[in-house]
Amino acid sequence: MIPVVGLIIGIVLGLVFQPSIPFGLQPYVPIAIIAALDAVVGALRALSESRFDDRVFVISFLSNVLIAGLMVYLGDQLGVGAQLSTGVIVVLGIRIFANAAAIRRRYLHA
Amino acid sequence: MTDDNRPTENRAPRPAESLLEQLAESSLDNAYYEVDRETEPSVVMQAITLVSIVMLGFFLAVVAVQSQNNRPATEAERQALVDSIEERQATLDSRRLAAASLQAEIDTLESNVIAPSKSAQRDVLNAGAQAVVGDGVEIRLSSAAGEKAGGLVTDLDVQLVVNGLWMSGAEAVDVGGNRLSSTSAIRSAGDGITVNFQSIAEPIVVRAIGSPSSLAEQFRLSPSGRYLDARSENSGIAWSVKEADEISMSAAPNKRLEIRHASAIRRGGS
Repeated sequence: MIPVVGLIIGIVLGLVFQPSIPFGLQPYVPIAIIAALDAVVGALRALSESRFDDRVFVISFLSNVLIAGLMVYLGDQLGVGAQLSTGVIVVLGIRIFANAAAIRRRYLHA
Repeated sequence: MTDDNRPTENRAPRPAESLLEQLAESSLDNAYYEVDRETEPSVVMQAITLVSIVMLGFFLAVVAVQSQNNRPATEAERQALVDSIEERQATLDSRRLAAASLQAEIDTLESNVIAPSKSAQRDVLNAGAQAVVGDGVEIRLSSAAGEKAGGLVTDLDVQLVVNGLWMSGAEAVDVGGNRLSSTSAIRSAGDGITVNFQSIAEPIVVRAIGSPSSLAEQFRLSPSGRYLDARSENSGIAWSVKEADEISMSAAPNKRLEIRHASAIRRGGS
């Protein structure tokens, strides 16, 4: 319940303040969000399997965001930023789908 | 680690599926499987978790809003392109209109070139190739009543009348509505008279455009006038001359304007 409230608070804060992201960071934020989303969906699955742990979540969240950002940065430096972004998004997307499917299986038995 | 617990030697080599399977199986961070469940969750970590979630929502909203705001920019760009296309289209249309009006101008200029000079205009009028209007005189001839000898108006009478009119300064002449051109003939055909191969019925009306007063005066004094006087005295034919305003004459028929054999001798410069 508290995380849902936190998410809503964050969204409201973002909508209220609407800070403009610096131009240099603009390629990284969407990837970081996908990575964070992966961590969140993983946490939801762990929660549904009652093996959730704050420490693991925080570490996976931060490392996901960091690694995703680093990979895009590296890709930018090597001139393959777009391709690497696509690769990162594909892998994270598959993980999100797999975790979501696991949650779905547990609750809907389908 | 769950993967370590599985018997690896029984795995069938299915490389096409194995990548997806691996991804699916390792989709949950392995760390969740090796958590020490006995320790109490620390408050700090819970706080960081909450902060992380709040941050996620925050950036989610920010990026969504920003890309939403960026859309109008691309929309504006597209609109600018559409506007520019429409503008070019309008320019094209106006150019087309301009081209059409210029073409019309060219046409009128060309027609002016074909009939440009005063002298050419004059020649057209002289040749009887154009309908004309102007003040002048009207001469009526009619045969004598009864069977008097020589009492019929002949082609010669009409020829003399026309000749007298030319002599008196007529600029355009028609006989019974038939405009005379330089190749018109007045002749008799049977009992009647034809002009431009059209028969003329009595009374024969000869109209001429010229200065009305002097034309009538000069005609009366001309040999033709005196001849008509003699004719009316001797044979009883009736004739009259009167001034007329705004005589309008049609052009001579095209057959009488055709020149087949004569060609112009071009002199240098003219």
